[in-house]
Amino acid sequence: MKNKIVFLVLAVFLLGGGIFFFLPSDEQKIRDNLDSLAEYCSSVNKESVLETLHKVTLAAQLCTVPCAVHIESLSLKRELISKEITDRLLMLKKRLPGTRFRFQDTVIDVQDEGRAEVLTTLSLDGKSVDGRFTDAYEMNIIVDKQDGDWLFSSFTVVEFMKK
Amino acid sequence: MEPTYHNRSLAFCWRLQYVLSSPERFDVVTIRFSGRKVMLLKRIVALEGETVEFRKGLLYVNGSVISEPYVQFSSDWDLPPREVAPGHVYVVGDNRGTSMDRHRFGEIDMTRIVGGVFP
Repeated sequence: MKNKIVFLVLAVFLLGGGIFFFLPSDEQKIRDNLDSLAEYCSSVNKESVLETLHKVTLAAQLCTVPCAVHIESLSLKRELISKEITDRLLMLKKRLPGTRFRFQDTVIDVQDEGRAEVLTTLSLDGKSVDGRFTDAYEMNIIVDKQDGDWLFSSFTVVEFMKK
Repeated sequence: MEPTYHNRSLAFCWRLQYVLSSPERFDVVTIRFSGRKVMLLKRIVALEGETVEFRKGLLYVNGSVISEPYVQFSSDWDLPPREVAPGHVYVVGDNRGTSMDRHRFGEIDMTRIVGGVFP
């Protein structure tokens, strides 16, 4: 009987430890969302209209409503609702066919319960009429936890080069 | 950085270049974004405290035109003078064949410079 109790306690302990160890951390969940966002924005292979619509809808679902966007060089500083996000992503994918988006050099700072700040580099690798092109932007992203999901609530392009 | 460095060519970042010396005018430097996987190649054209401007595509530093033999695609850029802040340098790419709006250049904090370029 005593052995059974010891075995049971050990099993519960191992199970709890295993769940704690293997459950993704907040940081990992945010990284996964960034990877998903990059994948939804990318159009590496030729996509059907339905596939493109599906991907931009999924991308918008990773963002809060509204979601703030600040790009100083485009004089853009405003909050976008879900429809505007999908419209702009559709435009982006149409303008950049065959382009791969990637977030690299990502640093995530989970500040308190429910908010995190991400500093990352968005790199683009694609084809244009002039041939292959690459581009990169440093981005500051705020991520908020809503109903257990980490959602992007603000995107700011860091303009570290001042003309 | 065409034509000095071609797109998709291989160059190494020489991180020890500025361990014992400071960046100088005409140095080609590697500039980091949020980390060190993705970097830009640019040329320093003005140092802290200097005034830099473009007039009809010509580079002026402290009011004097600067000869730039590495520039092969001329431009018509016009940019009013600005003084480079302390701890900063002014960098530009060699490829001036694009419009000024599309070309990424300007004043950067020196802490953004990771090193020089080899070869």
